[in-house]
Amino acid sequence: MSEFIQIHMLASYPPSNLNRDDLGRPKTATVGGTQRIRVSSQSLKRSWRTSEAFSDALKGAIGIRTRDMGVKIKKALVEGRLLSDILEGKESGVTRERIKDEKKAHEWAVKISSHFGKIEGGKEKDSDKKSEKTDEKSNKNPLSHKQMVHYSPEEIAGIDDLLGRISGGEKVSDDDCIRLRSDHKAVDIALFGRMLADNAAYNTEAAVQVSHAITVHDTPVEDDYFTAVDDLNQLDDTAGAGHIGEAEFGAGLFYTYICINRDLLKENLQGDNELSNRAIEALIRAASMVSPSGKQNSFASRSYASYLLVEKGTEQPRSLAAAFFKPVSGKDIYGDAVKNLEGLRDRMDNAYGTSFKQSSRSMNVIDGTGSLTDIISFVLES
Amino acid sequence: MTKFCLINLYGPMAGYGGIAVGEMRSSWSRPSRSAVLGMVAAALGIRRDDEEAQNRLQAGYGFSVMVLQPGIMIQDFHTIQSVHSSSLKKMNHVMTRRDEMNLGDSETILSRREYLCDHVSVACVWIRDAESAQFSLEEIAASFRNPVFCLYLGRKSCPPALPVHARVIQADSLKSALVQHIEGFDLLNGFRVPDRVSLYFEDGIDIGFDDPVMVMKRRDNILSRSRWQFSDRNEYYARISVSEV
Repeated sequence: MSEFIQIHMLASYPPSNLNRDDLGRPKTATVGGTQRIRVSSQSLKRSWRTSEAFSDALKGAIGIRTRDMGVKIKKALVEGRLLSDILEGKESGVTRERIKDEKKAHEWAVKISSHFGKIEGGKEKDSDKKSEKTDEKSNKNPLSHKQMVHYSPEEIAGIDDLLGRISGGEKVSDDDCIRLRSDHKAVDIALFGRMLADNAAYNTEAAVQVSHAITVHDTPVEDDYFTAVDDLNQLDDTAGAGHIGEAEFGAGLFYTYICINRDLLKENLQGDNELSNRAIEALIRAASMVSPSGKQNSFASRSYASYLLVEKGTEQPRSLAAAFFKPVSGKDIYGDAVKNLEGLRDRMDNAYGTSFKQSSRSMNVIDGTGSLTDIISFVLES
Repeated sequence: MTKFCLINLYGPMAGYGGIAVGEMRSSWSRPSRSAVLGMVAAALGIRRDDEEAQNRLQAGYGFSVMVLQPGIMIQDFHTIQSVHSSSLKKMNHVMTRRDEMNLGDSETILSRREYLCDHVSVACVWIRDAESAQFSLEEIAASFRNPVFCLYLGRKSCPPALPVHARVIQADSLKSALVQHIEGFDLLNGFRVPDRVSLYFEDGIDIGFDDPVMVMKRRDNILSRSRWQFSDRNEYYARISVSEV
């Protein structure tokens, strides 16, 4: 017996092409004998787990987003000051043994910061006097990250601790550097699993099951016939478009279902209940606020979930997709979809003698009832 | 009299994988023995690497499946983006998917996966070797009500959209158990059970009707879950009428 957290979600997308096949068409599925537009499970999971909303929720709200951590680490080592003071711009005194050998400090900075993200690399500029100013600002600094990296307060404290050990002359191994991020690693893999054909020992069974999102109504895939005009074309003998093409798209209200196996998640996280709760919160936030990024520049179809129903219990989990077996039609698609979903939930409870309704919370943005905060505190209370 | 444990299988999408080599990941038109025994294992909490329990499950139980609605097969174009394995080894910081994507030098693997949409069937297991069978059918049915792991229809992205509603029925033949089970069958959406259905079953059970129409080889006998190996078995096919007993 395990505890399952089931999330039923309705999200509406304006014309978009979030997840496409080899011909560039939106993916589809046949449900109840009619065509629906589909966003695949793997597409949803990818957009959530690579999103900033997800990593930020895991790290807590406060942290530092920077490309220049490596530069600051070097500075802290060379000046013998606390990294946290340098990051906050405090004028503080020397608290540790200074690392006089700049090359060594540089090596440590590379070693530590490259565990958080790829760094520019390359040779350090030889003259420090000439590059005194650019040293910290230049994008080309070999110690800068190629992309912004979010450092959590715990990670910064961890680095500071490590720096103290380095300047104290203690031996610091690669493992110590890797450990700086091990929490983060665990959450990602614990939720979504991992399969390595080469080495089964690293395999982790995903604690989260995500269905393909399908529209609740019969949905056509539409064609956009478009032309691109050549601005220098003066309507002489070559009058006409510079380019013509077709882009397919669709719009609709999507139903998605997520099932979290809480016991398995905790097991995957070595029994860390607090981390497991943070992982659940991060997942709920990302799932309801992050859309797949496909063709955002042409459609700007970003969307938040309009309806969320969360159920908690040990009974056999089931999706409520059957509510849309018969496609929703009529004028009020959203209202009918919610009615069908909740109606099916109630009728299933009656028919199968389950009690999902008693242990659930919902949020309906259109009606203005419930909130994400309520839902998360309901999920996390034991 | 024999006892049968029956479960309903419905979801908008399912994937009952057959032999998968390279980029084509096909699906059977009906649930496989390995998929259904996998669900039983998930409900009971038997893990894939628990070879002994998996072997006993494989040896202990017979399997049959009745298709109420065949559904439609669709093909999914699936891409997997991952960072090149050589650069993965060099980078210590690649710990999450986000890190991986930020590396920039990714490569993409393509595959085509078949999904069975709108498929409705009833799977049935019984004890065929009492010595191997570790769990009674009643224990299996109870575990489906409060499973240990999530159930899914062949692929993890295909959750059941109805409770499987496991029941144990005592009957003198397979057919009579199935007929008893679908009496008053309700998909909660006005789904009607057809008069004649396709039934797939294996040797060693009183089927309760005349000879099957044909026999097929199907590679869904579990040899080892941890090594992901399967062997052939004979599957018999018949069209039966379920409107009369």
